[in-house]
Amino acid sequence: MSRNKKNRNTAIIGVGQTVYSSHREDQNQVEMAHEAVRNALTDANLAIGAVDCIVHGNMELFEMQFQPDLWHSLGIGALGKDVYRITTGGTTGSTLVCAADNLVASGMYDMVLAVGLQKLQEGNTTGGITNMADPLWFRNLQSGALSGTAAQSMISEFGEERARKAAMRYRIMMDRHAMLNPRAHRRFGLKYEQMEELMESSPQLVGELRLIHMCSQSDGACAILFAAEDVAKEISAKPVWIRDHVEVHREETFSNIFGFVQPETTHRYAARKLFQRNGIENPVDYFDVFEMYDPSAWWGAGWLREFLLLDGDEHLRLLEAGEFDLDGRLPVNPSGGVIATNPIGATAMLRVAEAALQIRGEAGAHQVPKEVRHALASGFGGTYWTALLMLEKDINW
Amino acid sequence: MAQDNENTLADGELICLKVMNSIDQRYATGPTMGKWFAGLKERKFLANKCPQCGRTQIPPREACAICRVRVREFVELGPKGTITAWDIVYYASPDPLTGAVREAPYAVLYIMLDGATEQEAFAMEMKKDDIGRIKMGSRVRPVWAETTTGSYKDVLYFELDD
Repeated sequence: MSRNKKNRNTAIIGVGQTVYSSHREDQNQVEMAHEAVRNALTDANLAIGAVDCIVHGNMELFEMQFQPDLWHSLGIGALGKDVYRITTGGTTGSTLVCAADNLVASGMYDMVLAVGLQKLQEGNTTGGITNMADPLWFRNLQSGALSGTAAQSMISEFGEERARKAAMRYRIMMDRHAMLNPRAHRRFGLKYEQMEELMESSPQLVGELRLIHMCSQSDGACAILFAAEDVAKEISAKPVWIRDHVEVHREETFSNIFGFVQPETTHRYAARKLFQRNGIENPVDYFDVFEMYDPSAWWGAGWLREFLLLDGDEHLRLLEAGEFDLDGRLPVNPSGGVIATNPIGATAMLRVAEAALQIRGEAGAHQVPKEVRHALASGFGGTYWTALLMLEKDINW
Repeated sequence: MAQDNENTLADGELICLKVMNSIDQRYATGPTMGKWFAGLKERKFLANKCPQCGRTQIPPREACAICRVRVREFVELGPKGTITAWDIVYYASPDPLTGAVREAPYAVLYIMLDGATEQEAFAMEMKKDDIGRIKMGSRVRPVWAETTTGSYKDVLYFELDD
């Protein structure tokens, strides 16, 4: 399999987000998309006329509205422009960025606007997700995005006490970060001293996956403006460069990750492939921030090992030592992550948007307290798919 | 945007509608999954075996995605197996096929049927009475419906094989 280098570099030159909440009933879908687009254009000091192409991302099954790209066209500024729609479950937001990157890097368009949005309160997300399996086989067993297997495997590997504490530490770390992000949806003000109490008091959803561990269902939108290198250098004071990205899919079944022997995760496969071709030998030291798609505290804590190519309990030791906290060695999700904010069609895009803001040094109160030159962002969805992207402050690779 | 001037709808009434949809659906099995359902009717789990890597695909697929070759040979697995993972669902999720709220808790088992190759686990519901006794490595057996028709309903659940 061959893969060619980019024809030209792509920069992020504008980032726009809405405020996220469980109920954005103050505006409809079009208005919500527009809020993010307006913020991205303002951020880049541009008008919609400068945009050549728009990539729209949303999971139509969740709001039960067919052809959302059509109905949102006023909000995303699509009239008279080339428009593409992306709808890849949890990875929608990161696939939007990968597609926009390719559209610019290929030379097809100088400026591309990507918009991801979701209003989860307007439909039934779990109902939508349970429709993903074959209706003749396995759909009857679907419980949506909720699963206790991540908890179970961490408990069997590290023992109940250490595993449950690690997941709860991760959860509280995310809330501490979310408290610093005024846009974040769920902000509880949790403290590390509450670990033991929360481990018992939060209701169980599936196995040891408790309500407090799970990501939110949010309303919100995100928009990012991408430009070709020569354009970006001319009009943007702080372009953020997309160095590389990788997207990994697996087979159309997920029971075969629960056999006697388990295959390499798509996360580790993606990380291995991406780091190898970019000469990254130690991702923990190379990256200054990691915005990870973490659907639950159990997955978040466990997946750090996969994405950072760690072994044994290395990821837990770093977590326990506070090295993934905002002021740690490799801060993870300064924004509060997916656990705090999850408007699905935009969720994975927030990872990239937040990583870009960190590189610009403009994240606000949740800015990492050291210079951020290299950022990693991930997306996750479907039956264990992974998208992984590398962002850079300078073109020097 | 709303704050621009006084003539906006900021003070207007916000209306929210609640709607419940019901949709009929047809779905073709194709010949490979057709064979699987024909097997269920005979109370058999029919996997298909890759001629190159030898793995037993369950449910069967037309080709092996890893070796990229057609898979034609069928082998019977189980019917007994070993539990490798499980989900005990406590929250009242909707049954995707009927929309009805499910009775909780219920459990989904991941099972290595006897004769399956090492990665090819299989998922099925657990008998409700046995949920409290699920353990890694426990042996289980299927309980079949009185009349089998070639559908997922042919296996009622798996129960502990004590």
